[in-house]
Amino acid sequence: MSPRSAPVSPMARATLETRQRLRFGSSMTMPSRGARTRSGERPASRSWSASPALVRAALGSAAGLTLAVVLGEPDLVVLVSPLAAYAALALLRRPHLTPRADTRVDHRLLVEGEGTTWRLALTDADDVEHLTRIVEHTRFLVSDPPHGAVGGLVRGVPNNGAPGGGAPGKTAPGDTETGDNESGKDRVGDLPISPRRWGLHDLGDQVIVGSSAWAGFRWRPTPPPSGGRLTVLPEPSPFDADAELPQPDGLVGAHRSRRIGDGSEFSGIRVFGAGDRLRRINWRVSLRTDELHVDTMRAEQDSGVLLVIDAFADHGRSGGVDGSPSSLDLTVRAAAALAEHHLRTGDRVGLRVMNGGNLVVGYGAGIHHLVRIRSALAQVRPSTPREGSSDRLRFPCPPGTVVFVLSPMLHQTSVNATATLASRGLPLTLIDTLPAGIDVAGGSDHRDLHDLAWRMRLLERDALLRQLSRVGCPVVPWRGPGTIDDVMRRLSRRAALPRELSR
Amino acid sequence: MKPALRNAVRIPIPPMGSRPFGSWPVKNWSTAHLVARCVLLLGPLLTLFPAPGPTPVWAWVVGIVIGLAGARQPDGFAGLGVILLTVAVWVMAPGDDLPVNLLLSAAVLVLVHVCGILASYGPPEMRLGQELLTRWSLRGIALVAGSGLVFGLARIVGSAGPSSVGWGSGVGAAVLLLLTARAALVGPRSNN
Repeated sequence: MSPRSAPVSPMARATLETRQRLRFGSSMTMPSRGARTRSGERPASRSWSASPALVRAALGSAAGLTLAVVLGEPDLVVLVSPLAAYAALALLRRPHLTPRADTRVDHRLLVEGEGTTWRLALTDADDVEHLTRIVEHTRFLVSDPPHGAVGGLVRGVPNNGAPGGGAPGKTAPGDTETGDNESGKDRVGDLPISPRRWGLHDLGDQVIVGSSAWAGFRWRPTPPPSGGRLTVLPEPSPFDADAELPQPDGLVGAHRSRRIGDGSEFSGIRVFGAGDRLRRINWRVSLRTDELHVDTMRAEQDSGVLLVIDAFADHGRSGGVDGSPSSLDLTVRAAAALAEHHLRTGDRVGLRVMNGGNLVVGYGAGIHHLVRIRSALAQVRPSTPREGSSDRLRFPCPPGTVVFVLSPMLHQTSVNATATLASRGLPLTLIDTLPAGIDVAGGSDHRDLHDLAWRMRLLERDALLRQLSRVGCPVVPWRGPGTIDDVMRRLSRRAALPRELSR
Repeated sequence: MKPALRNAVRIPIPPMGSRPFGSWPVKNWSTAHLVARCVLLLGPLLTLFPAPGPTPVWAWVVGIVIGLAGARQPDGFAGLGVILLTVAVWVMAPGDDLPVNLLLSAAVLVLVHVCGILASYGPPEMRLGQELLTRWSLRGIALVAGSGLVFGLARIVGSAGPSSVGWGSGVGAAVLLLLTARAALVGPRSNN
């Protein structure tokens, strides 16, 4: 499932409107997007209107009293007198101020599975007795309570610089706030939310309804304040690797180089030469041999790591951070884990996304670069390349760069790109991110046919992976910690062997 | 690490798949909503019981229909239908005196009205706070007590002659209609 591109689909809107109309009346349905007045202007805010309770009480009691007069039935007066009293009290507490609503989210940048609070602040809300807020259900965004409807009695408190309120530090008379961010305490209308999958999540539409005292009048802002968008970073899969990268060639880093340098790893002892540091003199050997000897050390260097991820399609059904992963979930979380591991060991990491967008993140190091890569991963959407654009795929790989291709290998373009990279002689590892047990048939009537086709496709894929292995591209399934250890050791041994270069 | 990441907290949220949407909804309803909908379902029938004399069959049928409609959509016109049905049954009731059962019927009407208000505050899954329920319980009791006062006044005034009650009711109806028309036609004072 790809992250949503539009805030609300027409189908979801229609479903929600129907549900609300069935549940609590037609006057509290979701407003139509882009609703405008007859003059073509979008209404800024809707004022109070009489509630159905007031209308039925007024009409019912008026009808009863009229009949009592016409028919001379005093018992009708007694019968409808409570409703008449209710209508009178509701009219007496008629609201005079039109409130303003604003919403904000405590955190716009989250990791999947983390939570934040979507707050609601009201100003000029002296006449609001009860507030109801209903947030549209969107996939991969859960709320507490799960149905997304919160409400309660509103108590007026001074507004200290809340959105839509007065100046900070000043108390504006008549301002009422429902969300108290500084104390961290949830108020009426605040809704804890949590994205359950990485990506860009548009917060759904919402309905805010205020009721006056005695529920005689209702207020609903039109259009309701929009929630905006959450950027949800992928949670890196558990990962660790003991093996070193095969060809470290940078300046500084944590990997032992084959070259002699200024590191801390002992390499050997040789005769003192001009320019050698005095602190490197090995006095024990020098005294024994009557000649100055120095210790030599291995250089410690960093390495370039390129992560190439296949986002041409998303196979399987994503269950979010709590459920089973899809192929793109595995790919993105594995890429985040690899990036985190190599950036923490001091390597330079780059990212290349293979899809219709051709997203590239250049090489960099450090924690800030990790956030940059995870933010880029959060923007990944499955898309197929345009016709002919797959031939123009470019991979920025300086010599010695270690390449990890994370792919389910079900798209011809990703197979071609992997074979091209392998032919350049780079240390390349293909990490298979196709999850096991994908149900391709779903609820289809032709389940046997779908399963048969899927099995045939997997056989073709297995043959393809064997061919890639034969041309020097090791293939390992993603299994978390230790996934790349064996491969890296083999690549390191291969890199240490003398090679024949063609001119 | 960015402040947003540092400050974000993990909150206990049930995993996906436990949402009430798409499933049989009643099991996810809050208790207060369930009770309110039951009252809305049975209320029209309960208002007919205290009426003196035999209640016509059509009134029971209409009561069932209105109850179903009110339980399905508390904000609809079913609430008005309950009032009109009760009024119609009491108009057709034999006897000209003011029976005490009248107070029972008025109390049920208030109960149905209050339950309609509570049920229309939000979707059935939304929890209604204890304070809100207490507030509306007190309001309902006050309204029923007011009808008891009117009942007493009607008994006293009724002994002086039915015309006095008629004129008083007529004036009350006119005032209420005027207030309703004013509320409907004149908007609230703008604060912008």
